[in-house]
Amino acid sequence: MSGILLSIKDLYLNFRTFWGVSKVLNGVDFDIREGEVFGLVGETGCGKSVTAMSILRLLPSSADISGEVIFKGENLLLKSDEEMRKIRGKKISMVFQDPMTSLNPLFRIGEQMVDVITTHLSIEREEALGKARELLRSVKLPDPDRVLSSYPHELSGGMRQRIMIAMALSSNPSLLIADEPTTALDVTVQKSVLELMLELKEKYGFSILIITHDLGVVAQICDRVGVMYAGNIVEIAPVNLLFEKPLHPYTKGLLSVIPDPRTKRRLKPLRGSVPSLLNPPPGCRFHPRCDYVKAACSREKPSLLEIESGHFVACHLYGGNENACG
Amino acid sequence: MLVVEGLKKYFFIRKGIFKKKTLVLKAVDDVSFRVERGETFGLVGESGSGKTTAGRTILRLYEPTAGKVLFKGVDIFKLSKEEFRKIRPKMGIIYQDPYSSLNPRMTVFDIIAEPLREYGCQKLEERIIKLLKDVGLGEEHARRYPDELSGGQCQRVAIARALALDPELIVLDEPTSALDVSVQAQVLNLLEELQKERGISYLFISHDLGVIRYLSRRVGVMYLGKLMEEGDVESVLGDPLHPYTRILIESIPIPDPGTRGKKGAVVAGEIPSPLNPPPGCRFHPRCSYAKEICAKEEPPWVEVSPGRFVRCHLYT
Repeated sequence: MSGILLSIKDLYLNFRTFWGVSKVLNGVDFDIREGEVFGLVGETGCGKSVTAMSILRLLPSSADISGEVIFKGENLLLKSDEEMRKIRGKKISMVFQDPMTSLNPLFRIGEQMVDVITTHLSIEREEALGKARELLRSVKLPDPDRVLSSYPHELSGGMRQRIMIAMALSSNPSLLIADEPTTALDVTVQKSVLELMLELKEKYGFSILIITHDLGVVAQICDRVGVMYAGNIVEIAPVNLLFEKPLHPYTKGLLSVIPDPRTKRRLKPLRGSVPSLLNPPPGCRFHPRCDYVKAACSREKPSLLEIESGHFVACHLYGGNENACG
Repeated sequence: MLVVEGLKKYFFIRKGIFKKKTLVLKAVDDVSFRVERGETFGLVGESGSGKTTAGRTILRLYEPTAGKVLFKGVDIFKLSKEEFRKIRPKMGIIYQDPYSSLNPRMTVFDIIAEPLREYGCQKLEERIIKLLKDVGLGEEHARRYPDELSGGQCQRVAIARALALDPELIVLDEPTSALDVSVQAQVLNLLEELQKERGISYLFISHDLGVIRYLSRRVGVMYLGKLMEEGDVESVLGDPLHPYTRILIESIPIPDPGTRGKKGAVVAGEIPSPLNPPPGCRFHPRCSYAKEICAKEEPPWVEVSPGRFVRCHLYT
């Protein structure tokens, strides 16, 4: 259960832009264990999607990346393009946010699925079609034959997202990356898609990296969570600990701004706004918005320390970081 | 403040080569509710439920098909264009997407000045600086263009524009859906403060029950153009009567891992096309309590207790 499948170490990512260098990832570290659901949560622009793209090396040529992405003992950043193509979609699959745009509107679902299946498995068309039918059944789509002969626009958003999941699972991946998989769906549909993902995970035994801005989704499906802010992981914890005992001031802030449908409570917004990554604040990137800021915060970047078993935080308020440069 | 009675908005879609076939899309079908002075009425529903169309028809942005909307006792659908123009400043609207609802070629000053100029107001500069301050922006923002502002700041500009003519009612159409939660919290608090200070009524349209709960006193739940349930926000969300409301509430992922594993009711299927709604109760194909009558007869709108309405055969 607890073998490590993917390990990201000290990942830095810069984009060269017209306005200067955007420092998008600033030393990201985390592990994904076998069979677990790991959530990356954060607000727009915190770097959660780009972290996923870095794992698959789906980055534009303006990107400069350094660090390590160790998948099953091998550093993906050192692989050739040819080798990467064999990993993408086969060992690591991805489901994107918008099921409308991730399917080709001009081809029937069947053709698109057969295309994907025959790319990764060396089987004939007929056999692939059978496999597609079986996959559609496993994602609980009724009447697979009708779905196979439909065009994407004939299907609802929830159905399309199920098809994306079916395609992602076609080659038995070890890791499924889901980037905001339910953000475009209505809540009633969201619930059934999330439950489906968990069920399939149990059945096939892959790990899931889910990227989301919705702490409700995190609470309902993740085993462990990493909270990102402005290109850094500020806290990693098992899901229960994160909600019961958040340590980082940003995590605390994030938890206090979710409107709860069960009771009305005062929302306490964080002051200020997310910094520009072209010119991020020195030291801890959260310090200009933090209520507990100390002298060290603007000078030194806090490192991610384990405060209690499995609970990591990058903040000068905790652990050995307390005394860093006084 | 606002009484909506039997509001209907149908869209007619012509089909076929000669456009002979006409399909009727009943986006809003016989919706009634009232918004009290200084209070917020929340209209909640999933995509395609007709909540946005309802909001826009109330402001006559769409011509209504039938029904009455009384604004301070005046039936605004009966007014001529000229007469309506005199009342319109008292009603504002804020849209979901702050980027596309602000003209990218106008400065913030001009955006907020537009309604003021339209109604011949004087002392523009003074008023605009005051408005900017009221929504938490500074004088320096007046000369900027929307693309120089963040999503939250754009939404503040949209709020300032809606406030410019001192409205008594504002229709808020998913005003925070495009924003991050921390920015959403800032905007929600601002809206609440403005309501307290100025006594404005809000018609708050959203798919997010958490946000609805935060601002509204009463709430109406829409499904395929119909109101399914209405009442005080505490009782509707705390003790939902309609099976659809119950499912909607149970589907929300609660930000508390302690609530995990509670399976709850999973709803079958997805919202059907409003072009071809199911007969009888529109929810019956997805309802686990559906009886024979549900497929045949549309349930009536019944008041089960004072101020608490539901449209379901389980309560008739």
